[in-house]
Amino acid sequence: MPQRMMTTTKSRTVQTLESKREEEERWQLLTQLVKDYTKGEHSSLPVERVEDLMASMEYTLAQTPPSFGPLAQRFEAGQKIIVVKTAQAKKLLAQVMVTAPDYGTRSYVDTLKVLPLFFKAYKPRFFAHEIPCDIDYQLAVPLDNEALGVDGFMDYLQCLLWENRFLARYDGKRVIKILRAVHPHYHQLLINMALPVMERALSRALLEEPLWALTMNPQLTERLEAFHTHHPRQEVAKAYEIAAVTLAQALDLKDGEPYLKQVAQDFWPRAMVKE
Amino acid sequence: MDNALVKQWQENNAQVLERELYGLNEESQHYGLTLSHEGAQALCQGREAALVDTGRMELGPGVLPKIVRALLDSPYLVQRNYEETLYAFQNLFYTVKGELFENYSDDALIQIMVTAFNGQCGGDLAALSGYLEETRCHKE
Repeated sequence: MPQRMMTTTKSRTVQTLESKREEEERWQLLTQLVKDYTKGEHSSLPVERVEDLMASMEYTLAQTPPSFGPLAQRFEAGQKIIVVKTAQAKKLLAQVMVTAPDYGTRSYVDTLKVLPLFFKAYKPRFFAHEIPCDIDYQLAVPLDNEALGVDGFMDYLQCLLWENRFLARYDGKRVIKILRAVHPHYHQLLINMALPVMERALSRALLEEPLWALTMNPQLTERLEAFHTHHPRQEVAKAYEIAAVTLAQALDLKDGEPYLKQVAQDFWPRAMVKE
Repeated sequence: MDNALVKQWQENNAQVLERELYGLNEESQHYGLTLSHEGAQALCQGREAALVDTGRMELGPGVLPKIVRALLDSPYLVQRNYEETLYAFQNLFYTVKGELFENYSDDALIQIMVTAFNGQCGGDLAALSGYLEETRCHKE
């Protein structure tokens, strides 16, 4: 056999052995996890529960790079990282609470009540991948990364905090006026409160109107419609993207620029259809 | 869960269990009971089928060696019905574990089952099944 081919075959064999060894380590870790979970009292569990434990184990392992070391060591290191993240999430939640507007919808208020329960219900040792609280309130931009566990919870809190900070840039009475325009009983609806305000602000930014105000009188609406009509779609899209950057800068919310860009991207096709 | 992986794991588990079961013959011989290789194999296969049927998964050697040890001194167990009884007892264990006794530890459930099997059920597994159902209903 040529030398090169022999080396390739050898390296494949090593790879196969490595991956077999890692699989064995994985099963041993899962077996230990099941044993700990049942306190050694149950040798079998419903398949769904074992799958949960496995998902939790994989989520924990993903906290550290594969090069970290043996799986059991990686698992413990991952657990420590999750504990640190959970403490960070607590601080984040405190910021969300402090910045929460007082004109919240029912789903917003209910969600604020439910969020602290995460820390009571979160069991990182066995169910680290879960987000054990019912979050009703929808964000202006739905999270698309589907992050699990405390990572997913933190992503949600970060977005919610940013929305709070955005809303806090405007006078509450002006915001309520916009929300009432959406629906007179807006506070009963499952709507996001920041979205209509962001859309209004983006429209004004596009028209280069002062950004502290949120009104759209008939003249402004007419100008906006004319802009949509007289520009190709690509240009409209670009103009809204620039409006998002302008708005983020004007409000001193540069960290939220990608968020506003996403809102703008979702908004302009709808704004054109409205006409 | 990766089915091929689960299958491989179950096979490895079955080999370990088979060896452990066969090793129990040293203890069971004192009671005039011996498990053949084929019998141990059949028990492992039965265990796998029972787990699939009841939607459960077992990591490690499982509950079977405990069942064997708990039944060794049963007055109703003789060489003629040894393997057959273990097979049926194991099936019943997994069935009632999932359906009726999920919160009971393996040891507690085995004790309930063995006590009833040796006592009021007179070594009759159908009677034991009925007894367990009734017991659970009364507790609820």
